[in-house]
Amino acid sequence: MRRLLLILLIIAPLAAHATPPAAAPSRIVSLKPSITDVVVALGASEKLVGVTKYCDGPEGAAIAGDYTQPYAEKIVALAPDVVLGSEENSSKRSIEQLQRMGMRIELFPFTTVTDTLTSIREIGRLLGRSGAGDALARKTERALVQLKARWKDSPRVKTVVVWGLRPLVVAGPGSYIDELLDFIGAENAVRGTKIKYPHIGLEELIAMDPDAIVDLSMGSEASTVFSEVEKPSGKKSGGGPWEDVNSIGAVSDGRVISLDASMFRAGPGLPGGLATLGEMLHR
Amino acid sequence: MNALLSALLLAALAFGILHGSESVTLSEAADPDGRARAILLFARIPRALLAALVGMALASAGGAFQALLRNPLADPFILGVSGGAALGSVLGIGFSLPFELVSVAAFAGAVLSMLSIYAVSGTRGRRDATALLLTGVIFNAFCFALILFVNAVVTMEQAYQILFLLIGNLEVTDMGTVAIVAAFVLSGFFTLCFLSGRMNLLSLGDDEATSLGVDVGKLRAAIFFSASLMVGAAVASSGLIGFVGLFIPHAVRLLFGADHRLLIPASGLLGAAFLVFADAGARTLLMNTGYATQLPVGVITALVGAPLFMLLLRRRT
Repeated sequence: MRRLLLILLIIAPLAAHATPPAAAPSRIVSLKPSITDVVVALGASEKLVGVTKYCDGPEGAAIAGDYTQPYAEKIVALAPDVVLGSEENSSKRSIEQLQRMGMRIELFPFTTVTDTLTSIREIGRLLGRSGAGDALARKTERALVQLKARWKDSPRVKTVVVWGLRPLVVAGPGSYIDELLDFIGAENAVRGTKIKYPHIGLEELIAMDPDAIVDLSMGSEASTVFSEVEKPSGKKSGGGPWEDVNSIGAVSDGRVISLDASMFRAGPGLPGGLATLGEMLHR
Repeated sequence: MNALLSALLLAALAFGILHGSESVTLSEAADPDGRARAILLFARIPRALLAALVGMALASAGGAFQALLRNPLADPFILGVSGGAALGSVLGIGFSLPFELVSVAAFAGAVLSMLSIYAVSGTRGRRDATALLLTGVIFNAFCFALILFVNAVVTMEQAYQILFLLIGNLEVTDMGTVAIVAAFVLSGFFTLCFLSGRMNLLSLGDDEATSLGVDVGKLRAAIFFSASLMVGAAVASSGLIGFVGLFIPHAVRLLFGADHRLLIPASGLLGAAFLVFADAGARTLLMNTGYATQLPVGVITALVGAPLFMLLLRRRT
């Protein structure tokens, strides 16, 4: 037993040395739109051989998965050097399955702004573009800091962010979007629940009396035409149950904003999307 | 007895309207622009009324189907109409239709399936209970396969909507929708009450009922169509809320006996009251806790209904 340990102790460092640092991958599968955005922003889009159904390009990349489910066979056929995913998206089982097939899988979290910035750097490192990764992370961070400064002295806009209409699901404290609101001088009107995406009733919405309602219930499926289109007051705003309830400030002021959720995707595009929402909220 | 149950239903409605996560007093509600009034008018009253109508539809249709099929396991969802309605809803969700049109699609699904089930189950000149039951069950299975097919190809947001449709959920509806549901449910309910005396004869068996002067085929069609329309309206507005339609008629039978002239109206009234209470629970149980969220009402109906029912059954046997 002791001899075995000894051998292990000697061999382990050798073995670690034996694997050379992996060369920069040239065939990449991305299992998350955020990751695809980062890889594209780092100028490595030609290396993306597979992306998800919900990624924006690049052209020529095959569809290798949807939100939660990587298409294992497709991925094997694409013969990537590395598969980039995230724990929050992909089901553990499918990741393990890919690993058993001998795939190299790297997971990057994108659930908070800090995570996002770290993940941008690490993806840069993995692509052999550490400099570009660091620069992109710094640029993203700087843009977010500037946003915060832009709205520092404005009155806070009490906002409800709606993810689904039937059931009425909103972003609660601790959710990804909750953190983002702080950057644009807004605060989440949904409080006091440990559930990140609680299902509320119209009653609770009336009681919260938000200054603004941001309706993301079209998900990332809203067409680009639909995104950034603000519904002026008086018009039907896509069938939210709040439509006729004028006691809600957001409704009587016409500050019900329907947006494409992908505008707030974690990654290099985030500051741009947030800036747009900030201008709408403080209008 | 029905007067007593009507009073219970009124009490349930009052409770449902006055009970919520926010405290609302009637004096606050006097302010026409106030929050309290908005909560009552837009949130609680339509929802409590919808709960009552859906509960009434499911429980009385459940009782009628149990008589029609002479099967104690029958519930309002057994004859395939609910599957057709759910499929209509799911297709509506899949095509991203606004809610009003999703409900229309659901109701169209219910009517189409009702007609086709009726036609298919009677092709060999006779339409007995078994043929109707089997057709309904198989039609449901077929619809649910299609629902799962649609579910596999839609987005995550849509899949979530489909999940809530399948477990049943009373969401806020405008009074217009409530009025439409009311038209179908009330006309179905009163038709079933009117037919309830003949349901007693039907439970003796087809031959006995015929010898007593009942046109069994016509009666069966009348029960099937009026109950199905109610179920279609219920599913179109609030999805597949389980257990109410199975457990309430049995509870009524255990409490008041098996005479359908009492069973059908009593089931409708008790089902309405029960669903209003259950929905008040679904809305508020967790709302003022650290885990503030609503529960789907189907969770409460089965969690409360199952033990209650077992208690009744034990007391009786």
